Amino acid sequence: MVPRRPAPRPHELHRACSDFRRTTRRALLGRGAAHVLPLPEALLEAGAAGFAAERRTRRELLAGGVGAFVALAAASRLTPWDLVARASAAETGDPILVTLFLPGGNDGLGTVIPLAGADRDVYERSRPRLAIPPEAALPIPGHPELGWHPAASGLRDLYDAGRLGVYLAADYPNPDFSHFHSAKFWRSGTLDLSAATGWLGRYLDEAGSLDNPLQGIAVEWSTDDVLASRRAPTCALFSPGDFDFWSPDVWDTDRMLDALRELGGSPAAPARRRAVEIARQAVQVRDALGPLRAEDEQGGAAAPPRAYPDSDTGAALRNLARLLGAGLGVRVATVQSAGMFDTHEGQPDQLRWNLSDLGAALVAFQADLERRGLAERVVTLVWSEFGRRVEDNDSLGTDHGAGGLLLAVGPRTNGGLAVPAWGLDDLDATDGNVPVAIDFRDVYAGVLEQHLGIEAARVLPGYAGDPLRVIA
Amino acid sequence: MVGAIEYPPVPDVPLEQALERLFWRAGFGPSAADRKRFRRDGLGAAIEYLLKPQTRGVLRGPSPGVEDRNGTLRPLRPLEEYGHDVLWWLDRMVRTRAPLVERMTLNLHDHFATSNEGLADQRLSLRQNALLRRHALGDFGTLAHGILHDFAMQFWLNLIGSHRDAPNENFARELMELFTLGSGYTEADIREAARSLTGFEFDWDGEEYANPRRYSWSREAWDPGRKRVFGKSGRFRPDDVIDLCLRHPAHPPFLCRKLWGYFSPDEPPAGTLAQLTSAYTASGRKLVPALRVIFRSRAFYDNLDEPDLVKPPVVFLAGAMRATGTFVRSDAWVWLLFGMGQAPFYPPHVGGWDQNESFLSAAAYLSRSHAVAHLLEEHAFPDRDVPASETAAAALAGAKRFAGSPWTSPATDARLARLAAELGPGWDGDDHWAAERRRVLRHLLLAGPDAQVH
Repeated sequence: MVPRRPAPRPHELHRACSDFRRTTRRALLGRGAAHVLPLPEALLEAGAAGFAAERRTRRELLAGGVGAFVALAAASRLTPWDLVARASAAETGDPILVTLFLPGGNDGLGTVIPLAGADRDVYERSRPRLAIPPEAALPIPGHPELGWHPAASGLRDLYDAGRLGVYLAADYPNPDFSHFHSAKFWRSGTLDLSAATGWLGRYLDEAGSLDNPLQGIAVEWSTDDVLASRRAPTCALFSPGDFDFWSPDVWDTDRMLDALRELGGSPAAPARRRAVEIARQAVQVRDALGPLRAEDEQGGAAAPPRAYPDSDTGAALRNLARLLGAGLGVRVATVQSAGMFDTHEGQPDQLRWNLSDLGAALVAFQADLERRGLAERVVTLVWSEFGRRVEDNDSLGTDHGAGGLLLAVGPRTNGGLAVPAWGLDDLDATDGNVPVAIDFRDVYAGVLEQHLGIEAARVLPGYAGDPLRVIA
Repeated sequence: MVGAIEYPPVPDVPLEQALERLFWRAGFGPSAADRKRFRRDGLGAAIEYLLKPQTRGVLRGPSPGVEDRNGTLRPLRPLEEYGHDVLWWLDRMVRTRAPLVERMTLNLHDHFATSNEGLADQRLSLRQNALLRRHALGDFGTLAHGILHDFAMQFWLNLIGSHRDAPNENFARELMELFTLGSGYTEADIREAARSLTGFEFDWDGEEYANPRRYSWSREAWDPGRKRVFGKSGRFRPDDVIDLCLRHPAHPPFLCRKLWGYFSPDEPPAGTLAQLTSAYTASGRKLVPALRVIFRSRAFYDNLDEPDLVKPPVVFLAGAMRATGTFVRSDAWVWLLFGMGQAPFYPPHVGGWDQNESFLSAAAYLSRSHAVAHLLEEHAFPDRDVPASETAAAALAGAKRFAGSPWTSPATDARLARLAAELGPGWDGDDHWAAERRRVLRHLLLAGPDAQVH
């Protein structure tokens, strides 16, 4: 037997470096906002005052909802929260679905940990380097054999409040351990690698509008295939207040944009058609977000009732809550966690950060939605492309595995555990993997039928399963 | 082993449009000199010019840097400073006289996508970048072996520390799925290959991640047992796995299809794919013969009237900078590239960037417009520079020249002409508007929908 090299502590150093780098990256990217929206000095000059006034008129025209209320607020002493509540109330009351992606394959077994019984024996035997002692885990009422990861107190709080449905070992038959294949299946809601649309894109094709790109928002730095549709427009934007065009020493941005939305004609080639459509949609989105920009110009959004974590997860959910509260007709939205869940190495530190960040962000989001009077309308599904192998590896990590963890968050969800245990008794039969207990499409179908009110088969082609009771 | 390769004849297509297509997709757009030279010498000569680039004096124009508060240009520090590696590569794309080398290096970076986000030191990525550039017009087999021994890749896909007692499958899986095969293998092949790929080690005691002396391969950490991969059995070592993949029948068609996809939005016609695969195989996995087949294929020149592939963001930016004589003098390009969705050295995942239409979201489009705004800041001029007597037609023609005479659709031409006529000098009694017209026309030509495709 070859002597094992010592546990690779310097991985922690390695990660500390990348955290540091991310901080500097954020500092650099953060400067972007100031660069993006330079105050045109010409507008401040006396000679341009007439133009500025005309511009404001146009903005008022565009600014329905919150913007108009905020303009009014200066005189009426309403607090920003009053205004926000009014804007939300003006919405139609359609249900809203949010998906939150944990990229890389979250370790479900390390999130909801076996504490006793047969599963515990297998867990301890398989994870000599990673097993978390039962006394460190956070208890789950009514389920003494399971406990939350010690850093998942946010998830615990939501669970204890009856706002969290937990789906252990959610996957699909014959799981594929490729990130791309598996994420493709989850995003499309099919087991078809060539699917061109995402499950919520198809929902919008069926039940959405043909002219509001804000009905489906990827609150991310790029588009999300969950929202890929045939007809229904959607958009991707991370930070609503920054969404505006500019050009140096150009005073009349509106005139420039009036031309921009008419450039390119009506091309046949898909790439050109996309370019023409996306330019128009960008202008449309910019116009619709006018009220949120106005809010930022007047000192920013009101502080949320509970602080969001200082991460892209927190920022994305905070931005999303503002978008949902602005009466823009958002029906579905996607968010991606800032955590890195592909924990082939250094899992203890990484998972601790990931789960603490996730729980804190979800708790803050729920509080924010409640404050805005939106909580009853919103369900958030937390998903990952797969789970991880039961056995740990030699790098203090775990490799890709089956049977991950799916969560449904919100006051209307059917809180609790859908299945009460991981069922690890026969790992030989599953090649060392968590046996799949739940088909993720049965959860999707439950959300579609019980929350969004649409027959599952209209969105999930060929679906003939039994939808799970996702909504209480 | 290397037989004679049959290339298709240079296709008979409209020359000017074909040169636009070729120089954009195989580079970052044609210069006025490129257009002039190859209108004379023809498409075949242009293809050979790109495939056999000069190797000396490749970069021309002013050295890049970042201006400090006092307007002093500080040289880039790509090895040390965050984002300067991105600027360093952007500058190469802007100033190179061997555009296909940079474009292929970018394609190979997408193919073997490795991100600084998973690395402790950006020098590792720059080292990998040198490897990719060295083989950008070279031999894919040699490159694949080089990637196995590349330190950035060894960290990125967990070859380092993958020990015989607990092999890590990450590299084995992506090697087959993304780098060489795409299909035609099993989970068992991945597991057995992962065993064969064990033994790479890193000396954790120290600070310098890019020091080659800290990397090694240890026979003791390697699994010496017999493994069975693709039905063949042996005591395979890491490089054997690369050879097994390269010799797998699924490899040539997989790689050639992938290569084609960087140059065309459509599937390759069956005949073209066969020619491509045969050139790749017969040449011993050389990239230049395969690229020659692509650039001579009729399908590469489909839809010449209507460009049908979205420019990758960094190509869009480098192209606009080349067209306007703009050089790297600011670090804003880094966050602008992130906003556009393609910062080199930071691919979103090991699968690289989703290409073509996926690059265009409303937010990414807005960032493309911001990038053009930032570019125009470098060419800012006072209002008084534009005579009030400038006609609408002259304003539009001047803006087109400034933007490098880009392709525009008839609909765009008509709308810009209308804008130029409306937004005239003296409008509103202010001499600002002649200058504003020039600025807006420049912006719309560089950032409008027609500028997004090639």
